[in-house]
Amino acid sequence: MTIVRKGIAPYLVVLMVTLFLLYQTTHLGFEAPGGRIGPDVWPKIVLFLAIVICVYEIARRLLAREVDLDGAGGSLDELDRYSGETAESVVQLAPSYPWLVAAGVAMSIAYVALLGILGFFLCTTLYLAGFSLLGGYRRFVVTVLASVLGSLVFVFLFMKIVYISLPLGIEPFAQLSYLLMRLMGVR
Amino acid sequence: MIDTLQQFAGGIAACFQPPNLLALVVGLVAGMLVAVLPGLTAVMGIVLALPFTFGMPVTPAIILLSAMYVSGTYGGAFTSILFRIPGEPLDVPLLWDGYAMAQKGEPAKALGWTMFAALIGGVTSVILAVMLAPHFAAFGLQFDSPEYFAVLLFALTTVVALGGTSLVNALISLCLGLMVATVGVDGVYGVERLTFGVPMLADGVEYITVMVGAYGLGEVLVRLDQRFRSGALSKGTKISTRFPSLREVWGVRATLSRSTVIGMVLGAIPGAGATIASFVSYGTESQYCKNREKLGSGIAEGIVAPQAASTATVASAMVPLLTLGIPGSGATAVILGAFLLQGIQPGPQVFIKDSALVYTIFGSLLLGMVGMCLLGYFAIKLLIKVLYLPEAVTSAFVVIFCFVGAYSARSNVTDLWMIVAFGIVGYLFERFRFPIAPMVLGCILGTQIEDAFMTSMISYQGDWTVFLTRPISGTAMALSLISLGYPLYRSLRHRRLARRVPASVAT
Repeated sequence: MTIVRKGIAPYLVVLMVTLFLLYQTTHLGFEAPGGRIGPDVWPKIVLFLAIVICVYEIARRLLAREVDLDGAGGSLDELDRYSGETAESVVQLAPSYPWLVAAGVAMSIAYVALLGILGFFLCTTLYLAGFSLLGGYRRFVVTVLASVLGSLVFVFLFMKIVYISLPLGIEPFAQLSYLLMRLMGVR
Repeated sequence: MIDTLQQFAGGIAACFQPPNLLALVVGLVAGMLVAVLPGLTAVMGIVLALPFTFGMPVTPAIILLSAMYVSGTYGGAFTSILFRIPGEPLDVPLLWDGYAMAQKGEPAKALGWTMFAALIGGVTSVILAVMLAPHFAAFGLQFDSPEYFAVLLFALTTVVALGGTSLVNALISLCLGLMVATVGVDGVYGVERLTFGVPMLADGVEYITVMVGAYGLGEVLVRLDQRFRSGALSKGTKISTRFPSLREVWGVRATLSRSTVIGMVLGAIPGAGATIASFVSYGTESQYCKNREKLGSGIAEGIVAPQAASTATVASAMVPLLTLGIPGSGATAVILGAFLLQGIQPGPQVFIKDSALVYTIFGSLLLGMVGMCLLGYFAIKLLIKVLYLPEAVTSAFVVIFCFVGAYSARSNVTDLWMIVAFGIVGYLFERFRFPIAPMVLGCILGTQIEDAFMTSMISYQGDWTVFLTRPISGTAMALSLISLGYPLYRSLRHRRLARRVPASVAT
């Protein structure tokens, strides 16, 4: 609980990742010739610095009272003051929806995973419609129209104008991609 | 001096060549649209435009991105003043006097002051930047690898010191960026590092995926976390611009001069940039302005100061980029990325050998300053209509732009996985208040700083003192130490004072 309450978790995660990477760097299996410094030195310097900073911050947070933890570590006072004022007076503190973010990430992962199967047009249309609905836009006709037309514009722009070979998908979905390419005159 | 001005005039003339002019106009319009939309930042817009530059010649490519950078410092003023929605963080100070002036029934005058400040601050800074650039380049020619290492280190430490609310978080962000840059085959010995047997990682992590993921997808996820909740728009607001009279302009001359100088100085310092310049200039006016007691009630000085300063940062931020190859902000880091993708490493050599390119870019900045004001005057009524687009839909399109943009660089789906990964990192960074800019800059400059370090160590037989004993590198190392040490000292002092206050209250 202390880890969550005192905001130590992110530093702990970074510390564990850097320790793992440091272990990897010490096992490169290469010895630099003639007493020169090797390819492991620079990453080790960077990782060592990250570890020291994380250990310092974790120790500081463990030892500090909770009220002292905000704005830790050398903030730009003037900007902070103004930013604080802004946060309250201009943009009212909005509630957080982490489940929406999780769904957004899941959709993005699905998009990348399905891109090679469904092809760019179909996958993009589904993603645009799904993401708009997820974001709270509820006018279905507009959403569908914007998604289909938007995907067509993307296909035209990138395949016809910028000459980028976008994924076509596998059969039977590839047939739709070929049809669109024929209609747009893309070779 | 005459030679410099002649080359600058040549650069301006080159901007009128059709591809360059088209890139300039498109860049200005796109930058203005991005700045108007509250969910999009100028850096994000420039990142999204980057893939379109792959197939373009270098000059229009850089003009397109720098024009977006220019108008990105101005477009958000409209939404701040008229709707109380800051399009960019740098527009926040405009809310205090700009919105107040609009509420007093003078929105056209408030917009007039903004345009005037952006024009004068911007044009002055371009002219001064053109005059200073050759001196910077001549200075850069004296650099050897230890100097490059020390100057790059100084750039990164200032980004860390000024880049966010926590020095510790900024340092961690920088280390992560530098770490990402070490992935792949090492440039000196050809040894694979941190690739975990994945063939795609042997080529390293493309910094475009880091930029697009963290700035693009990451920002969208942050907005999604708030359910795309923007401020409500007041419909029927009259949008027109009325310029101040010469007498009124004369009255703000001191504010304008101070703010332009602040903008230029802070623009040239890596990590400071337009947002800090905007806040600092407003803060300076609250100390030194003749009407300081009226500041916040809707006076011209409160509009002129942040706008002139933020626009003035653009040209001065381009000076270290074009003459030394050191980007000072997120936007210039992306522009450096565009140069590198075109196979050009900006620096003193490019400045001297390809001065036409450099002066064309400066020329485009000057024309861009004028162009964005014309655009603001004539087309803003049309551009501001993008505010009425549903943010959920525009964000979905932004994500697809991110994916297609990164895919177009290497036509490899692995890069899309990288975008998702760095999108999540970007979101977590925002959530836990880690600044993104140090990570992105670390990722872009990581290879260069490592090369400079390794070359120095090999050339000077592993003598570490070489960084401290040479005049330029020694000075830069000392400045790095100061830029990191000062915020730390200030923080410790602040904490000590905070502890003393409750103690004295208790007694």
